[in-house]
Amino acid sequence: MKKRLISIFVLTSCFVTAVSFAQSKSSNPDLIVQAIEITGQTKTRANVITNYLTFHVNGSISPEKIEASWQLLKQTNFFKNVEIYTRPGKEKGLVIAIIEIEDRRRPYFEFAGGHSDLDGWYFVPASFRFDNQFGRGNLLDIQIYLSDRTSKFSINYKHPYLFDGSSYFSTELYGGGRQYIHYLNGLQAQQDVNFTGLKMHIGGNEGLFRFIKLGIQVEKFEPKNELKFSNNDSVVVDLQIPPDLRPNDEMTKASAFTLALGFDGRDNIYYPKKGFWGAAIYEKATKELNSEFEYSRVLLDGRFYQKIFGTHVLALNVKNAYASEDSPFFKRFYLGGANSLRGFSERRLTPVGYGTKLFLGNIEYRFALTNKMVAEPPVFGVLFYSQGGLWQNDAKINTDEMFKSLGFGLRFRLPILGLTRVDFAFPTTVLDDEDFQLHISLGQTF
Amino acid sequence: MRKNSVIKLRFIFIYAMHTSLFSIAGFSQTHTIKIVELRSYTKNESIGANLVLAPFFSEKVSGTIQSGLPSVLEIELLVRDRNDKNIGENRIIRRISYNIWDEKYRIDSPDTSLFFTLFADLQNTCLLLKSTPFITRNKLDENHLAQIYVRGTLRLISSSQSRKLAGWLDASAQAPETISSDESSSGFRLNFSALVSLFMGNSPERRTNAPWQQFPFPINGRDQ
Repeated sequence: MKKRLISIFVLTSCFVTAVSFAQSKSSNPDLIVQAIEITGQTKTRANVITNYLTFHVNGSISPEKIEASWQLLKQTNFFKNVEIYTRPGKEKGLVIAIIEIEDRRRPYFEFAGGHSDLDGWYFVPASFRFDNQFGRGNLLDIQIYLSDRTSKFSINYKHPYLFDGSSYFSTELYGGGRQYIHYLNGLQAQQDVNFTGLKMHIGGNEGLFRFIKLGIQVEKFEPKNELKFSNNDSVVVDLQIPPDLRPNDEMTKASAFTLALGFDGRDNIYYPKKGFWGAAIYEKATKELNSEFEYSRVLLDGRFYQKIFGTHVLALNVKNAYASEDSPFFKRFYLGGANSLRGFSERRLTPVGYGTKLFLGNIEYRFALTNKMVAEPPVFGVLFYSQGGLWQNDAKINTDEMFKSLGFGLRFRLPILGLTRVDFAFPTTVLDDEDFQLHISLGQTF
Repeated sequence: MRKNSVIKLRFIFIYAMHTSLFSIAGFSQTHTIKIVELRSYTKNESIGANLVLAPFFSEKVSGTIQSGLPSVLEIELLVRDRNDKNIGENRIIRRISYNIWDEKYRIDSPDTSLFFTLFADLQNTCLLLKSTPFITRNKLDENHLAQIYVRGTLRLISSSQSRKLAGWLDASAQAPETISSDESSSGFRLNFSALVSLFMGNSPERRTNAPWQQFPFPINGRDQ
């Protein structure tokens, strides 16, 4: 009996192995692109279109690659219509891909919105886009940006594929006003800071240069000499304002260059299960760049993801930042809020004059709440623990002074808005007798 | 300040939900299929539909299939009673492909696969479709003709069996993270002009969203 069972098992194993081998042998070679034909365009240059394709001549082509290319071309908004189809090539297995497009001739309006650390909820109710001028694939828009704390007018330009697609260049010219939140003896106050500026960035799309971004920025700040308290509508002016928040002059000019290094090794942007994302940013303002004051800032941000089982993932984020003593408060760091240290209201943990030494750690246990679309679950839950501290230059970093919180959250994908986040956070370091914070934001925390 | 945030948040939600509800638009890589004839058939106590489609194998469609890339044919059926209430629905899905190495055409449905050596045979089979029985006799009022609404699309080059949201809507949301700034931000973008032209104008999105065709749906169809 035992022998019979063994022989059945061996025969079954052989059969399964043979079938799987036969199946792997019968899988056909990839289809290869013989040529790419572009039709219908009256304005857009051919190289602008091919930059967005995920297949190339002599490379493989598949329905997935065609769909991805269609999506990328559609998302540019350069075209009124895009269609990709094929016909057989000169030999078996070769394919001629045809990209049929209809150029968009006129500028168009765009609506945008979201949530950011610095500005809270924001809208771009009017963005007038003049993309793909002269068919070169460049992006140009004029927009009005409104948020809880910021009003801004800006002109943005980007050339996503410079030098045969190896690099990109972007620039932003802007002006507006922002309210900075301060906490003085537990009371929330706002200080208006007007600003104008010009930022320029250049970075790579391929090779080692794709991890690097270089920038230069010239900004003028005008901090108001008054603080408005939100709880009793009172206003504090001039000498009553803490020295760190007092403006030196009517207008302060800061010119700085930035060097940013970034690496994205995540297996998925939306719901990473494995991999690492890291960024290092260095900013230096010097008198050589005609800056009225000098400062330097460094920020290191690392994110690690590890699948536990199924859709259960452990995610870890560590953020460290340092700003020099002579940096003005609007170039320093803050702590507290939905994208910072949860469990505390926006910037509640920020010292007067903002901090120069920041540590923030977040650990999240993520798990899908549905079996559908396992790679990118539309609904998932999160358990988290956060810890962080912010100190001024003369203060010593003391881990006992760190603030801590834990909680749980829900993430769900909505049309248009994308991933929406709701977090219920409970501070374990009690402050202001507040024992709970509800945070609503967009996107992953990290 | 907090009141302002709540109002703005509410506005974002109302705006976005309105937009999403109105923009279940057609996938642009789709071709509209015309239904020439529709007849009901009965099987036991259930009723289904036989359809004749207008030829849709244009040079573009034929070339794509013959180069080895699959297309998906999808027919939606909706039965409404005299009060215009939906009383039954069905969907016919066929994946049409060609294996260039074996030189065989193939039509896959959820339960069967058919193989052809001649393209003409594949075309003929695709133009005569039969739904599974999808409505019971007792749901139909014998004294009044129900109406069946039907529309067909061919999704040229498709890796997925069914895709309900238009590409631009699906991908409108969040942009990937950048390293330009030390503050994190997450947002969405929406092309307002495309949205307006979807409903007001003659946009490609609007054109490729197949119109419903209407046929009488008697219950005395032939037994099959």
